Parts: sequence; C-alpha cells; structure tokens
Amino acid sequence: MRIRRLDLKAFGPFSDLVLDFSTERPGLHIVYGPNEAGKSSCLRALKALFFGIPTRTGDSFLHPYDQLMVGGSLCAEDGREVTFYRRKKRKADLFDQNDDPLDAKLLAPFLQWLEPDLFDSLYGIDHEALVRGGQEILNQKGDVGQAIFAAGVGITSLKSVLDELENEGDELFRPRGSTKAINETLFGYRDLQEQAKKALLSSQEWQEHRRVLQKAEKELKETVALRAEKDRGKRRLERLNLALPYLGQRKMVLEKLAELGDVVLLPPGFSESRTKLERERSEAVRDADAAISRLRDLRKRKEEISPQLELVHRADEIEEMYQRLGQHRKAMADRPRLDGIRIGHKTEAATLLKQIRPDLTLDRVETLRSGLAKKKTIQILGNRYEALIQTIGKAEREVQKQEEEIKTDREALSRLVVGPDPHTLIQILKRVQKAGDMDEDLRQRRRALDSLRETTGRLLDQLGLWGGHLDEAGKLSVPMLETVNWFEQEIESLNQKRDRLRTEKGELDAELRRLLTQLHEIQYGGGVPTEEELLKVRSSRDLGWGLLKRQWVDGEDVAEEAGAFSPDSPLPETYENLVGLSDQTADRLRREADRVQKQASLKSQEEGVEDRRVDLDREIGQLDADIGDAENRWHELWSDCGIRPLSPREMRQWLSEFERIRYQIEESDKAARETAARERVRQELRDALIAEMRGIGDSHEFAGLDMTPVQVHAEALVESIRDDQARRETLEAKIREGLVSLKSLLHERRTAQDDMKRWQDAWKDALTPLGLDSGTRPEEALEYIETLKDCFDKLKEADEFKIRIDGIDRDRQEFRNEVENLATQIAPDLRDQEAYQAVSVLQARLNKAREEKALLQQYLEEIDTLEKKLLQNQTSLKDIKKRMASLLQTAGCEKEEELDEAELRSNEHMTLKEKLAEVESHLAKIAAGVSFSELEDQARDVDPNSLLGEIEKLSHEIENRLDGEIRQLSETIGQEKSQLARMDGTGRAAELADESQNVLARLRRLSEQFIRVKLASRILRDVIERYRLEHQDPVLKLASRYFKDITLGSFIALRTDVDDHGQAVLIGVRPSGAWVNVEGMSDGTRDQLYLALRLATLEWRLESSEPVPFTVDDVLINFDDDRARATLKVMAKLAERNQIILFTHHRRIVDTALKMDAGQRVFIHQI
Amino acid sequence: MFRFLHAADIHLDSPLKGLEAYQDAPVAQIRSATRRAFDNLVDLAIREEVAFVLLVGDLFDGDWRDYNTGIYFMNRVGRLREAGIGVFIVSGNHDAASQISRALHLPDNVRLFSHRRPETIVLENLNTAVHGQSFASRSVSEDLTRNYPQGQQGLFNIGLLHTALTGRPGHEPYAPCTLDALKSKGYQYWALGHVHQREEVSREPWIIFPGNIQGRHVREAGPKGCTLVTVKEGRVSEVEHRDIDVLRWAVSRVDLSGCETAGMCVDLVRQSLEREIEQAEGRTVAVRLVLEGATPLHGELHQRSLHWAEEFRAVAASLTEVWLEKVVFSTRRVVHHRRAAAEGSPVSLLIKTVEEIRSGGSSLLDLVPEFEQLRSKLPHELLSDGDPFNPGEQEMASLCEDVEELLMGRVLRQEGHHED
Repeated sequence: MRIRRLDLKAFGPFSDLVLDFSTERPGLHIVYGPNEAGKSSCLRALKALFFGIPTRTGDSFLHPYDQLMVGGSLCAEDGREVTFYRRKKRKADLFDQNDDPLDAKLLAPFLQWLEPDLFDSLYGIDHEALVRGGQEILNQKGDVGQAIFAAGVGITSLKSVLDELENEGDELFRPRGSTKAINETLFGYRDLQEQAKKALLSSQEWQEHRRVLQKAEKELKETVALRAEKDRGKRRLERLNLALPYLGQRKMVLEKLAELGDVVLLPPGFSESRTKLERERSEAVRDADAAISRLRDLRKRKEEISPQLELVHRADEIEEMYQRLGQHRKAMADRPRLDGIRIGHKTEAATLLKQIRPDLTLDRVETLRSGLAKKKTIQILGNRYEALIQTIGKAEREVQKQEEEIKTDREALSRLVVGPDPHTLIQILKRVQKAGDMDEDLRQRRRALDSLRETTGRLLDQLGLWGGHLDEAGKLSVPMLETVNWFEQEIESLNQKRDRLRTEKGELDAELRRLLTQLHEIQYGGGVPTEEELLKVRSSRDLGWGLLKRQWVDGEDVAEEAGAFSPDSPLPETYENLVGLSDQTADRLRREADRVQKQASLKSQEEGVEDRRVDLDREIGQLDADIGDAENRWHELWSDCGIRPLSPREMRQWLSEFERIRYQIEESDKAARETAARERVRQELRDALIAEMRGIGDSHEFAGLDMTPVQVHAEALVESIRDDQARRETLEAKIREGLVSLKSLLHERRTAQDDMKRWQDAWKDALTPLGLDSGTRPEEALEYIETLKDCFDKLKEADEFKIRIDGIDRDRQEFRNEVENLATQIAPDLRDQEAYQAVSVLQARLNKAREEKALLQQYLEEIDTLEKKLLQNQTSLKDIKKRMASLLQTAGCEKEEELDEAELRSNEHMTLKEKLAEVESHLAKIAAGVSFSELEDQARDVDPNSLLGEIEKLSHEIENRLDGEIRQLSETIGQEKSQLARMDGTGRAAELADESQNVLARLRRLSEQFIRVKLASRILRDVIERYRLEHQDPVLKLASRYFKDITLGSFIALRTDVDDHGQAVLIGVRPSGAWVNVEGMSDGTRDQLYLALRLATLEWRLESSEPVPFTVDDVLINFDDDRARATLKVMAKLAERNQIILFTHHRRIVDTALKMDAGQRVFIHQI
Repeated sequence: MFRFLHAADIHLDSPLKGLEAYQDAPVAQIRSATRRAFDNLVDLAIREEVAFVLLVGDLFDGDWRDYNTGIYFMNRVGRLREAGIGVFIVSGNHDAASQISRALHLPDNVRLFSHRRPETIVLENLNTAVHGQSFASRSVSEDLTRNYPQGQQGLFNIGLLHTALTGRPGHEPYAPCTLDALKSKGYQYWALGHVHQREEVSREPWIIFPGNIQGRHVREAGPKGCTLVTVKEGRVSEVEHRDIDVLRWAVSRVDLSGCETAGMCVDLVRQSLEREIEQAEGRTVAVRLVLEGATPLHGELHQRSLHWAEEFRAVAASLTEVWLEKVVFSTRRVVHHRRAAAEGSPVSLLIKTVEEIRSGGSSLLDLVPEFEQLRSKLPHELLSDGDPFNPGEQEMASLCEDVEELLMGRVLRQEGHHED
C-alpha cells in the first residue's frame, strides 16, 4: 500500500493543505517543517487518516472539534485505490469526496488489517524509539534473538517485558517465600482451617454434655431434699437451746407483777408536767417583784427634768441665723481686698488715657466714646488703602512698559527694506518644476539614442552585401519582396524540372544495365538438354529399383549384380543419385522453351530505352540555358543598388532583415528629434529664469546649460524674499496690537487715581470724631482706637467692684437688725450682746433644750410598758394554780406532797410490763411461730445437758457431707450448662467456612494470575528463540548491509557470536577484521545498529507481505552529516520498493537530500 | 381453607463459594446467608399463619460437621412450635450423610418420615394426608414412589419426595421416578426437593421443585425461595413463589461493542450493576461481570486486567449493595491480530506458538516446571473444584487468549502506546 495524497482539510494549524505523494515509484518523501510549522500535527494527521481522529486531541486549537477533517488517497499493490475523508466522530467517521458515509471496513485491507498499536510498532519509528532501541541492545548485551525479535515487531524493550513478567510471577509466588501474595494467602487459609477446627462442635460432644447434665440435676434434687430434713431437726434443737433462759425470765416477771397489785397508772409525761408547772410559778412571782421596783425609780427621775420648749419651737429661725453668721464673717473679710482691686483698675485707665490724650482727664473721657463706633469703618478703609496704592503703581508701570515696546518695534520696522515682487519668478519656477528633472531626462535620452544608433549600425554591418552608411540606408532603393519571390519561384521551378529529367535519365541507365545483364545471363547459360538423355537416365534408375526391391522385399542376395550396377558406391546411394538426375533432366527439358523467347524480348526493350535517353539529353540542355538566363536577370535586378545578390531565398531573408534595420533607423531619428525639442524647452525656461532674476536685482552668473543650478538658485531667492515679507508683516501686526493695549492701560491708570481720591475723603470723615487729623495713617488710627477701648474697659471693671463693696455693707446692717429683733423675743438677756455672740449662745441653748425633751419622752414610755407587764403577771399566776389542781385530781391525790409516792408506784409497774414484753419478744423470735405453751412443753421434754451435743452432730452432717455434695453437683450442672450454652447454635464455624471460601477464591485468582504470567514468560522466550532461528540469517544479512552503508564502512558487517552464557550475541566487524561487541560501540552507532535492524526487518517483511508506508520521525538528528547522507541514501534505495515518509524539523536533512544524486526517488514536501 | 409452605434444599451453613474478600466488599451482608434465609422462611410461615411447613430434604450439607447448625435448626423449629405450626421433613441424600441430622432432638411439632417405608400422616382437622419417605443412605437409586400408597379419597393428599425425577442437569440422579408414576398416585400436590432450580413440573396435579432457599455460588444465580400453597375445599387454589434469599447471585453481561473510552466502559458497567441491584430488590448481589463484544478497549482491558478489576470493584463498592464475584474479560478485538500478522512476522510466530500450546494437549505442569511447586502447596479443596493446572478445553482456550493478549499488549506497549 502507498499513500497517494494527504489532504489536511482542517487539522491542527492546517487548513486545506495538500501533501501529494503520488509519485511513479513509492519513493522517500521528506516532509519538512521548521518548529511550530506543524510537523507533529502532520504526523498525527497521517495516523488520524488511517485510524480516525482520537477522542481527545490537541489538534483542535484552530478548528473546532466538529470541523476537524483529514483526507487522503491510498493505493494498494494491485492498483486498487481509495480516496476518503475522516471527521472527528465516534462512529461512522469515514466519508467519500461527496461527503457520503463510507464503510469503515473498506480501509482494513489497505492497512493490512492492522490495529493502530501494531501498525505504529511495525511501520513507525521516531527519535525516542531509536535511542531506546539502541540502549536496549546494550542492556541485552547484544542478545541476537531479542534484538531481531524486537526490531521485527518494532518494539525496543523486550528485556523489560521479560523482566516484568518474571517479577510479577515472583511477587505472586515463591516456593520458599512467606511474603509473596500466594504464600501469604496459603498461610491465611491454614490459619482459618485451624480456627474452624476449634469452633467445631461434634454432635457426640453435645449429646454427652446433655446426658451428664440431666443426671447431675436429678441427684442434686434428691440431696437438697435430704439436707432440708436434717436442717429442720437441727433448727428445732437450736431453738430450744436459745429459748430456755427466756422462759425462766418470763416466769419471774409475771410473779412480780402479781405482787404489785392494782396501781393508778399515770399518763406518760406526768412527772415532767408537774415539775414544769412548779418552775413557771416561781418565775412569775420573781418577775412581778422586779417590775415594781423599777417603776418606782422612773417616776422619781421624771420629776427632775423641765426643758425650755420655746427655744425648740423657734429652732428654724435660730439655725438660719447661725448659718448666716458664717456668710457674714466671710464677706467682712473680703471687703478690703475688693476695694484694692477697684483702685488698681482706675489707675490703669488713667495711665492709658494719658498715652493717647495727655490733654484729657478721666472725667472728660466720655466725650470720646462716640468715636469708637467708627472702628470698623477705619479698619475697612485701612485695608483698602494698601490695595489702592498698589493698583496705581502697577498701572503706571505697565503703561511705561507698553510704550517702550511700541517704540522698539517701530525702530525695527523702519530698518526693514521693502523687497521685490517674486510673483513672475514663482510662475516660471512652477513650469520648471512641472517639467521634472530635465537634465537627467536629457542625459538618458542621449545615451539611449547613441546606443540605438550603435546597435543599428552593427546590425547593418552584420547583414553584409551592402557597404553604404547608415544614413544612406533609408534612401537605398532595393527590389520589392514580391519581385524576389517571383524570381525564386521561377528559378526553383526550372531547377526542379531539370532535376526530374536527370533522375529519369539515371533510372533509364539502370534499366539498360539490367537488360544487358539478363541478356548475358541467357547467352552464357550453357547447352540445351535432350529427350534421349532423359530416357537413358530413367531406365538406369528403374534397374536400380529392381535390385533394391529384390533385396529388401524378397530378401534375395543381389550383391554381385549390385557390384556390376554400382561399382563405386553402395546400391541405395547410386539409386538415389539416379532418381535426382532423372528429375533434373526432366525439369531442364521443361524450362528450355522459355529461354529463346526471353532473349528476344530483352533485345527489343534495350532499343526502346536507348531512344528515350537521347530525348532526355536534349531537354536537359534546353533547361540549362533557361536557368542561366533567369540568373542573369536576377543579377541585373540588384545591380542598381550596387549589391551582388545571393539566391532569391537568401535575399528574401536579407530584405526582411534590412527592413527591420531601416525601421530602427527611423526610430532613432524620431528620438533624436524629440531630444532636440526638449533641449530647446529647457533653454527657454533657463533663459527666462535668469532674466527674471536679473529683473529683481540678482546678478548671479551661471555656467553650462544645465537647468538644476539655476533652478536651485531661483528657489533660494524666492524663499529669501518670502521670508523678508513675512518678517515685516509680523512686526506691523505686533505694533498694531501694542497700540490697542496701551489705550486700555491708560484707562486703567485713570480709574485707579479716581478711587484714591474718594478714599481720602472717607478717611477724613472717619477720623474727625476721634479728634485725629486726616493725615493720620491707618495703622496709627487703629492703635489709637485700641488703646482708647482698653481705657474704657478698665473704667468699667473699676465700677463693677464698687457695686460689690456697697452690697457687702448693706448685708451687714440687715443681719444686725434681725439678730437684735430675735433676741428681744426669746432671750432678752442677749439683746445687748454683739450680733454674732448672741447667735452662738442661742444655738447652744437650743441644743440643750432638745436633749432634755428626748429624755423625758423615754421615761414616760418605759413607765407605761412596766404597768402593762404587771397586769399580765397576775393573770399567769391564776392559770398556774388551776392547772396544779388538775394534776392532783389525775393522780388521785389531795395534796401536792402525795404526788411523789403515786409517781413511784406507777413507774415500777410499767418497768415490769416492759421487761415482760422484751422477754416474750425474744422468745417469739426463737419460737418462729411455735406457741409459748408448745415451747414450754418441748422444753420439758429435752435434756438441756445433751442438747448442744445433738446440735453439733446434725450440723456436722449437713455442712460436711450434704453441702459438699450439693456444691459439687451444682458445679457440674453449671459447667454442663455453660458448655451447652456455648453450644448455642452459633454460626462461628459457618462464618469461618465462609471466610475460608473467600480466601480460596483469592488463592484461585492469584494462582490463575501466576499461571498466566509464567506461561506468558515461557511463551515469549520460546517465540524469541524460534524467531531468531528462522530469521536470524536473512535479517542479519540485510542488516549487515544496512549497517555497513549507514556507518560508511566503519563497520563492514554484522556477525553473531556466543557469549560466556552461551547466548547468541551481535558483533560488529571492522574493515580490519576486528570484532566489536555492542558495549564497544558508541551510543550513536548503536542507534544506527538498531535502525539497520529495523530497515532490514522492513525489507525482509516485503518478502512475505505487502509494503506499508514506513513513517520516520526525525531519527537523523543525532547522525553526523556523512552518516545522515548515507542513511538517506539507503532509505531512498529501500523506498523504491516501500514508501518511506520522513518527517523532519531540520533544514540540514532537506539540503543533504537535495544534494544527493537520487534520481526520481527523493521528494521534498514543505509544510 | 389453609395454607402451607413448601421448601427444600436448605443446606444450612453451607458456605458461599467464589467470593474473594476485597476492600469495601460487603462482608457483613453475606455472613450466615443460609441461616438468614431460613429465618426468613420461619418468619414467613408465622406471618402467613400457615398450617405446616414441608422441608423436602437436604437440610444440612453432608460433610458439614458443626453441631451448632443442628442446635440452630432445633431453635428455629421451636419457634414454629410456639406458633403452633407443624413441620414435615423427609431427609435427602445430604441428610443421610450428615452426622448432625442423626443427633437431632426434634420437638414434638416436627415429624421426620421414616426411611424404611413410606409413611402417611393424616391431619384430621385439615382433612389432609401427608405421605413421605426419607433417604436411607447418601445414594438412593431405586424408585421410592413405587411403595407410596394411593391417595385417600376425600382427603387432600400431599406427597413429599426428594428426587431428581428423570434427571436434571447438574444434579445426581437420586430416587429416579417418572412423571406418570407421580400422577398415578392420585395426590393433589407433590412437594419435591433435590433440584436447586425452581420448577413447576406440572399443574395437574401440582408437582413442584421450589429450588433451594439461598444460592451459594454463581451457578445458582437468580431469585431463590420457597412455595406458599393455599388449599380450599380440598383443592389447590393458589401457588405463590416467595423469594426469601438474602444474597442474590447474578451474571451480568456487559456488551462493550463500539465502546471507545474508559469512561464509557465504566459507565456501562455501572449501569449494568445498577440493573442487577434493582432486580435484587434490596438484597446484596454477588455479580459475575462478563465483558463482551468487539471493542477498541479490548487490548487495554486485557493487558491491565488487574487494574480494571480493581476499577470495577471500586464502582461496586460505591454502590454498596454489590459484591463483585469475578470479572470475566470476554471482549474481542475489533480487528484480530491473526489477520493482521504477516506470515513469518514475530507477531504471527507468537500467535502460532500460543496456538500450538492451546492445541498441544500437554499439561501446564509439563510446560512450566515451576507450576508443580505451587500446585503441591495448594489445598485439596481448591484443586478438587477445578484444577487450574489441568484446565479443560474451554478454560485452556480462554487462558491462551489471555496470555496472547497479555503478551501482545506488553510487547507493543513498550513503544509507549498505552501510557497510563
């Protein structure tokens, strides 16, 4: 199969790029693209074409996924072709040119039914694979089998596959391993089996436990019953043993009670009630005595106190006075200090006034107060003053500056001269400019003209035949072309006619020679045969036949006769000669008749030919004359122009050449005329320019005829005139503007002066009330006002202090009056006292009165309380007496003294009753339900002395015998029960069985994996060995040649050797015959060895299968130039049979390929 | 009107086979599967208030020796006793071999039929006669029905028989008998056991194999359970099959034809597993995943089968109710190597060598001596249930295909065509 065409419709960076691989032979196709050009995309496109665009692709950066498309044509060896397109689709991605879907199976035969991975392996190699291949050959130390096998499938690393398989096997299982997967699982399985064995419960075991349990349970039941009986007996005896002392006590108490007889039983707490009542009574009597004594004391004290209540009633007034006394004292202390301050302020005011108006005293200062109102006005005017001064100054300065400028500009203008008018000069210059570079144009025209004339002259000389001058050629009268044609025809036809006659004469000569030859043949042919001759020969022949017949058919001996008949030769030979001779004679007889007749015919033909020859000679002579005549006329025709003509045909060519020259001469004349005209124009313009310049005063002289210097000068002149004009206009405009602004500046100055006048008037008005003249400066005026204001302020403060001092004096008098008034009313003894003293005494008296009043109140309250308490006490005593009577009645006594005896009897009776209850309670516990009477009966029946012995005996039997048995049986039952409880139907063993199955499943899977891996390893080794055996020789032979070619004879062959392990290994052979193993080769050489193997297997594969394009991706980059060239050469050679497509980024490769003499085998495709 | 349950082949505590535990496998869900299924049977009997339960043979596995299983069984029939439900048992081939069944102390609601001769028990209150005979030994080759009595007139007759009928694939031909022989007895219902696949053999009269109550390996796939029979006026009025299994076995075939990406493949597998889960109605499913069809992923799947099996297990783990029993890679190449390999090329030689081994008939043990070392260490249970070192024809073909794919993949992958 070959690729005819790769159509990159929309793929990677490509849009509608077509790579045409349709060459006659498969060929080596180099697809070249520098980095970024899309070489890799192109390579991927090729794979995509074969096997579809991958689901995920990086080639969709320009064209979206649904637009991606590659196409191409493939051609099989049998000539079938297919053209198709691929889109990026998961299914049905194949289309024909008309975008109709194609069956995917269509391609399979072209691609040799290969899957992408295998296809790549077999028919693709890139740089990486090459290097890996070389490295792997080294790793395998040149193992031939692996190297050839690997090259055969296109894979590089077989050793790693083998190692990988071995490792995987080892990881699964090793016979003596413990950490390998299978070994571990086996251990796990055995462990589970052990556990399962332990968890197992056999049915016999269960049944045995059940039997033992049932037996133990029965025995236990019996033993427990026996023990209970014994225990009952023992308990009865024990009870009696315990009861005997209590029975005795009970009897004794009952006897005592009987002795005591009837007794009044006092209620519980009787004695306590009585004691309490007696205590209450004595306490009440004591309380009453204390209260009476206290009452007496209080009444006496009360009489001793009498408070001054009037003072208390007016307490508020007294206390207010007392408070005011404090304020009064403070004010009196402040008064001298305040007066000092007032005098200080007044002194300061006088000093200030003296500073500004020494002429005035303080009492007249009020006249100035109205002036202070102008303070604001004076401030505003003062502020404006500075601004006004500045405005006037500025206006003045600007007026002066403007006048100066105008003056300067006017002087400059007066210095500028008025220039000439350049208008006409400009007009002429424009015409000159419009005409372009006339000097250069004219120079070129002249050169062209000279060259044309020279060429034409040379042509004329070459034409020859005519020696005249170029200029005369135009006038030369040569014959017309038609005339020449006519002559040509005439002479041609005469010549033809003569040639024809000459040919005919030649033929006649030949005919005549033939006729003469035939005649001679007949005449020299020999004698004529006769009839008799024939007869004689025939009879001799028949005689021979008779002899032969007799000898062969009849078997007769005819030797003698034969010897006579044929003495010189054997009989059959003689007979054969006689048969031939008779036939010859007969033939000659038959031919004889023709010969005479033919001779006569030849003679007459000879005469006819002779006659025709004479006629022809005559005609030819005539024609020679005619031709001579025509040639004379031909020469005559040309004699007028002094030319000796050649043949008419040649002259026709000459004429046409001559006409062409004449045309050129005409052309050159025309050009010469035009040039002259242009020169005139230039001269006119130049003169006009010079004249105009002179007219405006420029007298520059110009040499030569050229326009350029004049033009340049004139342009400079115009420029200078224009500059002057522009300068003048600028100055004039500036002066005009200056005048306008001066006018406005003058106006501003006047306005400022007016403002100043108005200000001065206002200033005067403001200063007058202050008594200042108008010459006072604003700052002085402001300072005057400030000082005046301070003076007024000080006076004001002095006045305020005066008012406060007056207030103090007034308050003092008021206070004195009020105190005196109060004293008169409530303490006349104090009326004459100083006010503050009187107030202090009053306050002290008030305090005393208040204390006495409070004490009296307290006494009264206590007296009242005590009286009420005495009353209550008497009521309690009555109640106590009543309750004592009730107690006597309860005890059945009449007097309190009898109560002690009654209490004593009652208590004894109760003690005995309690004792009885206690004894009976003990007995009841011991009897445990048996009645006292029955107990007493039983007690009568036993001997107290043997009782303990019997009890001991029973205890011993129970504890030492029966309890032991019961315990033992219970333990047995407990054990069996727990055993059986353990056998509760648990699923533990079943779970372990399940787990065992899990492990078995794992074991099976791992074993199967082990089998696969090991088997694969074994098969791969077999295959490698078999492949080596089958293919080593042919592939090695081919590889040997490739290796030699690629290494440029550095190695001359590849051989196999056997290494120390008996393994066949690859060896390179040097021209010297030295052997080099793969370890001894350089990296690059090993790469080349791998490539040689790949190419060899590719070629070898051609023996058995159809060729498939071999894609090579930049494998030459590490090859030096020579080896790269050699490799390209061998590839080109192989490419005659198998298409090779080499992708490269490297221009060097392309150049090398181009330089190679490769015929029609290498093709470059640039992308 | 009354109802009864018909179950057989309980195989209590028989382990589940072929499930390899892996990370996130639902281990707890498969514990004591047969017991839990039997619990379901007991619950069903009580819930449906059946009159009695028929257990037609193979209560226990023949070689199972843990008496705990028997105790468990007695415990559960004890529950039926409390609910007033009778149990009729004929023993099967496994029971005959079982040490457990011989030592059972059955409560009084249970009736085990004699193995000497057919017995008939008449239930007066239900107007019903139950006929049955147990297996005397592990292998019963005579036709037991010959001695079964004719059905009693006016009663509803039930026959209990552990039999393979005229033979069923995968089952030993014990107690053989013909359909005609059964029909000729004039019973209304034949409760059969022994065949693990549920089957309604006949409806006139009713002859039913209920199948076993819990599948134990992938060859026992699909729903498993018992049969609930309603009897009205001496006739069967309704027969329902009730699924009582706790773990469902399934073979899930996934067609990967045209499947191009790993993502698609995983999706298809997931969908397939989800389908199985749905069909299992809430039970855990043990699935054997069989990948089929011609796909471009074929090489990738084979070459990295371990990786892919892990991948699919992860999918199963994410679905929680699935235990992936095994992944079988039965896909095909879109274009086979065989056609592609040129005569004499290494690839064709490889194929040829594999083919020779496939058809060579020699034991794997001869091919690779190391195998004997492993085989001698493997437990008997593993080897007796399909010796991996002596594969059958089909296994050998499958093995050879695996190995061929493995090698092709490894050898070609070296070029970096299948980078991870």
